[in-house]
Amino acid sequence: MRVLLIEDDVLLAKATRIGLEQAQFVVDVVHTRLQVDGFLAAYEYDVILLDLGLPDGDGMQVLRRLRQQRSMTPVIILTARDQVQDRIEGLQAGADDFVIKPYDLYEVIARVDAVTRRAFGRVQQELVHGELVVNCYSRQVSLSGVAMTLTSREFLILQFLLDRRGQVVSRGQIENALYQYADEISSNSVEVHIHHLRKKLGKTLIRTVHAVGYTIDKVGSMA
Amino acid sequence: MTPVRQVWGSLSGRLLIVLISATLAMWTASSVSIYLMIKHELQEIFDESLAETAHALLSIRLGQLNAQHSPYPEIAQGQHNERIIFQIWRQDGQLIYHSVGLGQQPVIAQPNQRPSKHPYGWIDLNGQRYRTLQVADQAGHYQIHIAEQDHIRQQIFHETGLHLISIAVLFMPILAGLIMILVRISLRPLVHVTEQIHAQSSDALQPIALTHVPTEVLPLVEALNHLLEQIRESFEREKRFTANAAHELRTPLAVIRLHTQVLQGARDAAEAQEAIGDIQTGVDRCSRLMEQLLVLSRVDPNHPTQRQALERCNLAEIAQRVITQYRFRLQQLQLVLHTELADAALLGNPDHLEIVIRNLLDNAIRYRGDSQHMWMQIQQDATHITFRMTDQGVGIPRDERSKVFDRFYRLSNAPSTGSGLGLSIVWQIIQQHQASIEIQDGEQGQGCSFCIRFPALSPTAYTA
Repeated sequence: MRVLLIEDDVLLAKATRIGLEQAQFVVDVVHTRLQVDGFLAAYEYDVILLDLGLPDGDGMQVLRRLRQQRSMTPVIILTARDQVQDRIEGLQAGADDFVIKPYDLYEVIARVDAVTRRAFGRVQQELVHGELVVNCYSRQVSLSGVAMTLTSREFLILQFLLDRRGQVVSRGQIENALYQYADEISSNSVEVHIHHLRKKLGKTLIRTVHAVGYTIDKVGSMA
Repeated sequence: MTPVRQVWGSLSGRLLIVLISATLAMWTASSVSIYLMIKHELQEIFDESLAETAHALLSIRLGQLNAQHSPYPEIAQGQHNERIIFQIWRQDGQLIYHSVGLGQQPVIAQPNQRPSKHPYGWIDLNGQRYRTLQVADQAGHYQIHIAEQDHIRQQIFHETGLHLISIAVLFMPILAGLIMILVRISLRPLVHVTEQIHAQSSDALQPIALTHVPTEVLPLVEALNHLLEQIRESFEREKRFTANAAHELRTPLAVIRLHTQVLQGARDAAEAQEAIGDIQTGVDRCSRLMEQLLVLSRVDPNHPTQRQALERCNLAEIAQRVITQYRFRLQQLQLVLHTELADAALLGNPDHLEIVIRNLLDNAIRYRGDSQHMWMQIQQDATHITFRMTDQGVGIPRDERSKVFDRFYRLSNAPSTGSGLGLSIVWQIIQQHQASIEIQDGEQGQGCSFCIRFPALSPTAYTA
């Protein structure tokens, strides 16, 4: 999952970024409002973490613009303001949740999980697909009751595809969600991960749509 | 002693004492004068009626009278305690009539003497005091010597006096009560004001309503309102400041907290090392912020220690001291500080001036961008001393130059690492020194230049 972190404090942004990366998120950090548009144009984000107290303009403006542009990306406000009014305003302007500084890393992760879960129409941490059960929180995967061992990249690709069941997902989309822009992506690494997933979970689960990408069909729609 | 002082110390007590004793004194004085006047008037009335009696007696055809044939046997045989007694004398000194009480001897005056202009007199007879009168008829053939008992008059005088005193005794308590009520009513606005002051709480100071406040108390209430307003403002300032300070402390605390969690989840030794370094930076920031907050409260113009007088100091010496402190850091960062420091004496607080120079140099280093040069300059002319700190760094956008002195203001064009207090501390110290500060473009239009103008010491102050 790719997260955009908009936070002016360099050290705080760094800590949050590393913390989220440890939890297998891909994080981009911007420090000023001016940088926001460039990143939003370049990448697709699953969540935006937004600091309200940006020096070159209120974070609230970023949020309003985002919603005016009909962006559906969930936004979590990071605020040091303990005023109830600010939180209300933020939520009314289209934010999905907020965390108050000084926040706990695990709380931020849990809230990011919660809003993305909602965005994909899940209410539990468990994804069930036929015989396949995937726990997004504990990252345990079982097939017909047998626990499977996946690497973190494999797990993320599986979750990514399961969250978009019925949709065809391009390789670029998967790379976007998995790799930092600084990471070196070898040309066939996504294919390698898919290959391994097929080996572990069966050949029929992930279907290749020629020249477009991959998909996991909805249960029952398979022939 | 104490209760008396207590009563005298209270306004109503004082008013009561003064009003009641003044009323009492006035009443006594007027009673005495009324008594004396009434006594005088009554004396005259009695004297006139005595004279009328005498004339009435003289109008009797006295020629037919003689000692043997008294037409008024009841008078002739009158008793000793009769109210009025008299003798009638003929011109030749022959007594033709006398009351028993007066006898046959002349007592009041000699019978051959003509009545004087002041015919009234006093005699004591048989242990009684009498008012006497000597009257002659128009032809001068007869004289009448008449006397009236004085105790009748005295009795009436006493009754009048008693009456006056009884009025006083009866009405004094009523009057005192009225005065007390009046005093209390008059002082009620003060009680109102007191109640309003009592109702104040430190977090919601309200001005005292000026309605129903008497003119005399108005200046007091207005002064009090002014004070309340000042206190309220300073409370507000404190509250805002505390809120801001708490807000600012949260960020470095969040940094420390997150980095400890990053440390726990560190994927390799390098990441752990970095997290530890960042925790240290976070702690440094916290302590720096605390330090700056303390400095700010110390240079607060409302702080009591600010009352101390400024002393004569040399700005160049202070600047040199700061540069010495920064020498190592400048070397480390390979920065070049160009200096041109003219000796400049001014009246100031050397510790605070050092903070100003240190904060400005610190900012120049912090926001140096890619440049390696900065300039510090002190110049003096006849009226002013100018201190200038110039850099070629990231600069401050023009529209933000007036805001950077606000507490916790952050620049939009540079990621913040400072406390957001440095320049507001500078501002406060500049105010304290009656100096002015201006931000101009930096060297070759890049970066910025802080220019402070202090008033120069006047020649008289040099000799002092």
